[in-house]
Amino acid sequence: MRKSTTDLLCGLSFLGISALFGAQMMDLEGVTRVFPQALLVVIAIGGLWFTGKGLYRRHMESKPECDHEPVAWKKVGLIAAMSLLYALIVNVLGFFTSSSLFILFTSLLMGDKSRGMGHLVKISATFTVVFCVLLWVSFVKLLSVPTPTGMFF
Amino acid sequence: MGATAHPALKEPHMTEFIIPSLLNLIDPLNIALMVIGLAGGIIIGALPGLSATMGVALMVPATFAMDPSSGLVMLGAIYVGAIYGGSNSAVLICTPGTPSAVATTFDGWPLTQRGEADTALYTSLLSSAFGGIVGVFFLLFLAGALARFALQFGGPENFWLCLFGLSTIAVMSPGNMGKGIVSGAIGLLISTIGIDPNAGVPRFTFGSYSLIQGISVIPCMIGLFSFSQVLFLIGTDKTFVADYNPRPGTFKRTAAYLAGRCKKILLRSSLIGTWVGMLPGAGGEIASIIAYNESKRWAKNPSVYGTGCIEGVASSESANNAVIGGSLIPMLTLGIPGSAVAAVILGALMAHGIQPGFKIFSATGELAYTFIFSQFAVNLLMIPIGFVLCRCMAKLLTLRLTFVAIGIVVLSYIGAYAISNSLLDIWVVVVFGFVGFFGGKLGMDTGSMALGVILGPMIEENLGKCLDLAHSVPGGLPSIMLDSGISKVLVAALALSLATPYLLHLKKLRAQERSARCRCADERPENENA
Repeated sequence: MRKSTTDLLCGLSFLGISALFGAQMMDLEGVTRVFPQALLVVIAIGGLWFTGKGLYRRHMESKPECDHEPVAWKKVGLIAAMSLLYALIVNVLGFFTSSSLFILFTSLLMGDKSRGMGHLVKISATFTVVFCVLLWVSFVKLLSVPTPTGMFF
Repeated sequence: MGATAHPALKEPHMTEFIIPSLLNLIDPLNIALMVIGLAGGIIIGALPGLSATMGVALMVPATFAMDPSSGLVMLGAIYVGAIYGGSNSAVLICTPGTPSAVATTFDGWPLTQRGEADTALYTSLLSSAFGGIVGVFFLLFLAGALARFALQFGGPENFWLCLFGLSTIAVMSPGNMGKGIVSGAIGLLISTIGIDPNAGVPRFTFGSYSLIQGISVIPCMIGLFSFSQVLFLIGTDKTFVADYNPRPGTFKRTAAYLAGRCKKILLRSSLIGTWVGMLPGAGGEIASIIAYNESKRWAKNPSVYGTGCIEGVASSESANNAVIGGSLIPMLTLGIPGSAVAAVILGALMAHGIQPGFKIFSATGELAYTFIFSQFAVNLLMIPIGFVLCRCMAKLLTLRLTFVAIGIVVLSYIGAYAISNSLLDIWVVVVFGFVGFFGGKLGMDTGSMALGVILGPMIEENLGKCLDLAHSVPGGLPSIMLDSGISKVLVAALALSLATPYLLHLKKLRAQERSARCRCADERPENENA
């Protein structure tokens, strides 16, 4: 990403955060308002500064300065989507059912397919079973940590 | 009634308890409890979301069936193990197992990325043991005096201490200070979500009832460091997390390096840890950050910090383990716990019918000294036990990245949920994971943000106390804030901390100027000869 774009997006994010929290400030008054208001001023000034800096850099740069850091966006998107789905179903299906589904399907989707799909299915299923059993033994049985409950387990 | 005894005869001296306490300590049951407690603590500490407080609290009921001294020995071992254990995941997967290991990620993870995970793990192990021993030393010999000093810390002093901790941002992000400061401010703003600690009014709940309880620190840390790390690691498209090439002799080399070149850092960080540990409310997370900051400030070459330097790991880890001894000082001598874990141990003591206070060293001296000596033993035992366990955990790096990433997501969710059995905490992990990942891509500083979230409640609460006090004092707020000598020292330290990046820059410019001058001087005779 170009440095000017980074600064611009960062500045806009700061402005967005200050606007989001600023809208909620209306209900606050007195001492309760003092500390967050001071912080919002700092964030908004920072937002304006970096937006301005980004625009200025974009205007001035003849050769765009880039941070060369390739990102496998497809894989990032996939695990992010699976994690979101997992968070959504954890309360519906129960922790262990949803965890098993998440582990199995994410392993299948993102695993190494070079040795054939059959091998990947075997590895993914083994990993799912072993990991879930370890979780159950350590968290539920040994540490008595409560897990989200749902329709199943 | 007999004749009144001489006061010196009334109060038994510490030396009378040494032999019985040491005999208690070599009891096979106590040794077994220390080993089990340490190993369990290390594993709990390494799992993100499972804190030392939780580990100790879980085992309190088990101590009711034991002799009080055995129970205390085991709880102390879990405490030590869990605080050290947090560094293992911080080093191996850039995920601090406990909030006190946040600063360990700054240099521990770059070392792992460089293929030197073993060096980072051994550094954290040896530094933790050293810090722990220094903390216990102060607990044993200076408990009374230090507890009285800690009592002088009120609202203003704690406020300045937190600001001093926050000033680390300036040192942490030297090339990116603007974004670091705003990220820290965002962290502070996030910490204001929920009920205002001073007025009791809900703030920034966005219409959600669940947000009234605020954003818990641990799920937020898990999101910023663990979940975002999953996205980052997957984004690198590597097969494994990092190269793991254990080299023979690394342990000896690391020990020699720490003993030879990190003596000052270890001692200074351990003293900081002990001091911060004594203050109620301030824990390992603040101590390790302050110690890291100070090590970087006094380093000959501060630019190596954050790139994978042993000194960075050593300062953070020695400080957070020294906190243990420090937090036990006010707990044992005054009955005021210096940390959440110390509060749980205090509860366990009282459940056994033992009243903390200065009398604990005379009325139940054998128990008190057995506990203190067990802390020495536990810190020494941690070296072989931690050595074996960290080598096992390092095998994590040889697993395929996909499986490690999936495992971290599941552990992050269950760890966050375990804090208060709230589904909101799982969503906090997800949201802060995205904030950490995308914010990092835009140059935001997640370390500064985490610092803001950790220190925010303490800063606001102590500021509120100062504002309340200001109404009843003639000089108003300035008089309250700068009245005590401790406040003045902390303000001076804060000013120095903020000026550090400029001073370092000045130092660098001077060095460049000097080297340029030398080069000119070297070239001159050649020119003359020519």
